[in-house]
Amino acid sequence: MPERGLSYQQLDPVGSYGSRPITLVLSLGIIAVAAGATALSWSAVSNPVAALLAVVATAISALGITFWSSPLRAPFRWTGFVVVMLFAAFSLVLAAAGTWNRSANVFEQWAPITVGLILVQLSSYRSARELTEATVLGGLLAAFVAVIHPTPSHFAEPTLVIVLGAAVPLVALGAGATAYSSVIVRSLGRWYSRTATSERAASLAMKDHVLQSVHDDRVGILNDSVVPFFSGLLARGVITHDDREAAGEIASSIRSIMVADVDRSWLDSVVDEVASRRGGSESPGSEVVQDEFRLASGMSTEQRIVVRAVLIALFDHPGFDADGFAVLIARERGSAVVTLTALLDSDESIPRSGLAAYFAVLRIAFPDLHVSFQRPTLTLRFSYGLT
Amino acid sequence: MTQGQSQHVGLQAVNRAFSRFAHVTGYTVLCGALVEILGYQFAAPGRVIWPVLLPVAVTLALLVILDRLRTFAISVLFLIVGGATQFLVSFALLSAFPSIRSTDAVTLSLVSVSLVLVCGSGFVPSSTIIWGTVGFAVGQLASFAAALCTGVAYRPDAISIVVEVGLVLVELTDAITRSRRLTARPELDRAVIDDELSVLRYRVEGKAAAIMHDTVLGHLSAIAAGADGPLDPRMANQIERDVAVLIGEEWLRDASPAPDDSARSDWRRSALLAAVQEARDLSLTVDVTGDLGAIGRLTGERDVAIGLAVKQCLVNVLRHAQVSHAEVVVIGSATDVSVMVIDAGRGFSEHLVGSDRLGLRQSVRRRIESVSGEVRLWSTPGHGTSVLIQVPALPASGGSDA
Repeated sequence: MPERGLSYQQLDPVGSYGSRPITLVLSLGIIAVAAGATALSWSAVSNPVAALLAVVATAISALGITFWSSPLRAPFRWTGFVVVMLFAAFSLVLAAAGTWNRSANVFEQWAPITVGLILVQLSSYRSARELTEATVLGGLLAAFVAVIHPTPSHFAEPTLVIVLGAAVPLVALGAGATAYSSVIVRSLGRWYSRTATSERAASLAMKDHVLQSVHDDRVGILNDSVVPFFSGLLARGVITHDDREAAGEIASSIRSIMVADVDRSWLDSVVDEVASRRGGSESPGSEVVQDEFRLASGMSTEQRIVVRAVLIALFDHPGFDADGFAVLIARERGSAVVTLTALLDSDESIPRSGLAAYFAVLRIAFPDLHVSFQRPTLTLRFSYGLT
Repeated sequence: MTQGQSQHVGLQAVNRAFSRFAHVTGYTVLCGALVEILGYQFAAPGRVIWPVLLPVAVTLALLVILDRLRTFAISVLFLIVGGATQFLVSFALLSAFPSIRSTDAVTLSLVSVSLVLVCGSGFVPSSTIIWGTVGFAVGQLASFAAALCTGVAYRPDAISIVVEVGLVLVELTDAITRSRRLTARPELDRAVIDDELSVLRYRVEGKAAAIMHDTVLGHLSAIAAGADGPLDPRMANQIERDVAVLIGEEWLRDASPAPDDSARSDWRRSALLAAVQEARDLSLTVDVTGDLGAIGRLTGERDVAIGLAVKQCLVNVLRHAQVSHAEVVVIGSATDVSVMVIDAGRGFSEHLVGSDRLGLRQSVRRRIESVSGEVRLWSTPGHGTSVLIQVPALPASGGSDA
């Protein structure tokens, strides 16, 4: 089961990356609501500067979510969350200040709705616990502002109704956002737990295939030279000078195969695999992967899986040029630093390309991922700790 | 896990979560409506408003049912009852409170918002949009009817409009972008499987290489370095046995990743002790000291790995150290078992060892790393060699009989 406090983005970076277009649309919608409501109720504005600043604060908050939810900045940072919520809180206060002593109409007090929608936007990127806290604090602030907000005397609404009118839209949307985050994390967590065992059973045939292939390789080597040599020797029962020379040669050839095997890392194998999948007949692994200290083996299972998927996506990406591909793994203090270079003949920006989802996942596995694309060179740089 | 299965599960999880979002928002606005009606009633005790609490409560109860049993009939019933509730609440409040000058007051929009959100949420985008729009229309129709009955100005309420427009935009965006944005998931699923198989291949190749090194390469090297003459019957037997083992498939099955999590408990029958005995048979004097009982806390797989690794270390002492004595020290800690092989021989510099010498790399390091262990080596030319092999062990209470 997932740890408490995880977000949808942390648990399923690809899935939450899918929410990004919705995040962008909601950002525009929130800004439109703030600007439109302010314009339509301009007659109720008593402090134009505060009213306009409220729209600006809302826009900063909504665009902040768009900025921090980028796959190149995943996971959505706590600092980003705090900045977004602070500007959302400013918008609540400023919107009320803008209509001070003039308005009691909820649409003229639009900020609780936009703050609620901001919480909805955040539901893919922050945990249910944080959304609950933000909802409670936001609801209290909206209620407090509504209580102190002076209204014209002819709006004789009961205080409880005024408080609820301000707080309910925010709290309702915030509670919904919390439920969304909580349910999706629980659903995915349950599923991951279930598949942890069934996954092994499902690929038993594949595992047998791997075992058989390794066995066949070894038997092939033995049948080539070792078995005939030993058979002859056992039949004769005598070791001659020629036998000793032959034994030395066979040992040397087997040793060279084993040395190549031992020196080959999983990363070499992956590069060879994806290159052959693209139709290449050579094994470029050891040529393009420079890993003098065999640091690739220090990656965790999760990190290996993500790197493997990124490499496959890169090789499959239209415009990828295998000749410009290189991976360098170097040791820097207690970490291994990976610099991956690839040539991409692509007019798309990286955040919009098909690679963006993979970079979102890569950022979760390697939080210090730095992506630079100066056409046609794409450079990924990230590190991981060495134990 | 089949490719695409996680994609399906991911979409299902999103649909379920969105449905929950809509229902929780619906609960909150309906509860808000209840409290607001109470607020009006307490503010004006002389006016009779409280009866409209009942239809709101019924709508809330229907939402509870819909939350658990989502059928077409209950959804339609929710829309009918919710529409009636919207009319009754609007009518009661507009009649009793002249301060509410139009139908766009927040108090009058709460039931309407629940009608937009609740019925179609969590299905495919088109269904969500249709149900939401019907709910919006029902809510506005009820408000319009209440406005007609009370003579108050009808104005569509802003919150319902924002929620309806937001719902349509979100669902349309979802429908348009869904296919493009999920392309990465099957690749990740495939990477999970590929990595699992790659780890298995690495383990099996490691085991095959270690066995090959310990058997075939050992015999070939012994023959190459030996003298002409009759083949030693013991070596002949060993060669026959080793080749049969390699051509057979037993060693493959042993390499399958299903871990043997039970401790061996009887350290006297461990592979480590067997390796020491084999070295003694080859005329090496080996002193074994330390916490021997700790060996009983090793799983079968780790016991075998450590036994074969120690055997290679002792063979190295025999072949290269130019001494006839070695010491094996066993150290048990709460989580690990460490075995140190020490000799006072001629020592060596690891970086000067030829890249084609595989004993330490293949038969010791890779073998131990494949069972999550670690190997450290200290050696200085002229001052002997110490090899520390450390592997995780079961907790001390797990069956040691020492």
